[in-house]
Amino acid sequence: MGIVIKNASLSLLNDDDSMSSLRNAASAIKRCLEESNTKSEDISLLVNIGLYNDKNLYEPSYASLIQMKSGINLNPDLNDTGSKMTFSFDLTNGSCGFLNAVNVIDSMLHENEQAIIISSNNHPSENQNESFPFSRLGSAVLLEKKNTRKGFKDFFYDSKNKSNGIKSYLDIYNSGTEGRNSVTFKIPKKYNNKLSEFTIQKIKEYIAMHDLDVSKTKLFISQPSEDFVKTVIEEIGFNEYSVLNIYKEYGDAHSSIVGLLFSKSKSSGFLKPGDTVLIVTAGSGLTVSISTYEV
Amino acid sequence: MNNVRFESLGLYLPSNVVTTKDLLKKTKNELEIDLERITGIESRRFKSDEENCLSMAVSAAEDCLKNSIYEAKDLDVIINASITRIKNDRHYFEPSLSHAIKEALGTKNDVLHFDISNACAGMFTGAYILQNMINSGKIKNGMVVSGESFADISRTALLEVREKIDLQFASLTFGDSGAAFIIDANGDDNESIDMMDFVTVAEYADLCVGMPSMDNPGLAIYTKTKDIHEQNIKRWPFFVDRALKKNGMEYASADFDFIISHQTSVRAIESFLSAGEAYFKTPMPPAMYSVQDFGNTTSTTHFVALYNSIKEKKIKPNSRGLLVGNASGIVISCIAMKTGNLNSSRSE
Repeated sequence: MGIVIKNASLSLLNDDDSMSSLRNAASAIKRCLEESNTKSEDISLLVNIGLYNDKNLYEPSYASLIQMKSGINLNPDLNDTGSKMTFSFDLTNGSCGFLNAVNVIDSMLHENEQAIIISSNNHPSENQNESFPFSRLGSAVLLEKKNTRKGFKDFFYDSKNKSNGIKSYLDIYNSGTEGRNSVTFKIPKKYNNKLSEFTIQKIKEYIAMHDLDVSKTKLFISQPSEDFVKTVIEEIGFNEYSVLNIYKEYGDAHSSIVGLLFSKSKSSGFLKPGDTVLIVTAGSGLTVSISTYEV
Repeated sequence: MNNVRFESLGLYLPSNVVTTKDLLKKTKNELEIDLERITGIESRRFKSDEENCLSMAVSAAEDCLKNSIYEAKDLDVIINASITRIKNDRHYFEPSLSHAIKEALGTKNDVLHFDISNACAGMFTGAYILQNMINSGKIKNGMVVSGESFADISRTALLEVREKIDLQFASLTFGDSGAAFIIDANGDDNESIDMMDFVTVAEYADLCVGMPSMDNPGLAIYTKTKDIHEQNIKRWPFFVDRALKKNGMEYASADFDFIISHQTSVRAIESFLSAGEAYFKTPMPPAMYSVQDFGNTTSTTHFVALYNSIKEKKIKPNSRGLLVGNASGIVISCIAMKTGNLNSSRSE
């Protein structure tokens, strides 16, 4: 059995729209379901991996609010054993949430069941705040459990013990009565260097562990900066044409990166059946998550 | 299929006891509320200035390891399920709290760790994830841990609650705590998780919403208490019945020795039990309570009650239990378990 991507879609925030990450999440899901002719009632699991919620909402799960906004199995008849139901929750781990969620969902779905991973971030003020360091977009990935050898495999995780990298928080009392509009980011100057060093080391370990032929492998990787991607490509020896680089167009898509890359590769034809994709997410912690995807 | 079980439980309760009478002395507005009579909550614990979500979570995790055959380095997964992620008056988004817990416990570097957020169903959700990951062969064991600092939210309510029918009324019932459990696959006929199921009835997702207050600095939770209680109460027996049948079980023959519901108030638990009795047409098994002494400890509530009830021998070894979760979202969840020697022989 394998967990495969049935579709991936984007919803971009721009100045003319509402800047609500919640509304944008629902837009991305709507597009993802429509494009794949999937009925919303067939979604068994909805996992939100986004971190920056409207108004800094922390309860209930953002996933349940996204489910509500998306109109997915809102009020199933629990007395009817045949009624379809959805279970929603948030799973967060900075940039690494996507692969953590896929691994979890892989174990939770039965054959032919479907799940959505949604990531949607914006400044909590729902404005275009310049201090917000990540792409303002929503990416929805529709996953399906199939009787196949394709899809995600060989999950790998590692993290350093000295907490490093991005720190983001709501300064509860110092933000006064503006807590719904406040988020603080602390990004150390050498963060990208340390992250690229750690990521390269872990990719090398993974390649050796799974005997991957880099010349025949495509790379989807977190893109916190242009230099980060460049350094990793050079150090590992990837051909630049085997890497989908979207930093110039989208900036740091953070937790939305994998959905964004699958969505872009769909429209550009970057991936072809039979391709092997190395998926690497890296972020705060420092934490690295890696998996392989067989198209 | 493996014999998935709760292998050990851990608990941390701050030593600072705050009685309901003392709490109400701190309200900014004069209130004519007999909170203790309405809720049955006599006291709760609030963290000290030196404590926070991380320290309470780590203390509970360490207690859990003391009751376990495992050491921290043996764990395959660490899931943090705290709603609140507060340290030094900051509510953290990154890095994950699970990373700091992992670091504090001294696990192996490649332990899978992440945070989940599912309101008061967070620890249940973590159990469900571990059960599925163990059954699929991905892992052998894992820990779910939560450290909840709701004193910060009660503090806002003390400033802002004006009347009994107030959206922040429920925030006066909260207490702080840390809880943890380890799940593995080494159960047997007497020690197992026999059924676990979840549904999110998202039509009512906005009945309880937590976000910063606009009137005072601080976090707040706005709850339509009566509405959310009504929606939960009328659904849980249907859902449990359905979940049991899906797993080849029947309520009557399951012969539960105890039941633990979400600990919001004594009266709420009583109406929860009445709804069960009416549906299943049989008296409910003895209910375990923690709410009178510790208030509503949110995501940890079932495990505070379970831990203390085992410790106080209200739950005997090899008992059959039904745990039912009702959380904002709204999330209805249930676990049927056999306790075996959970936290009994090993802790003595």
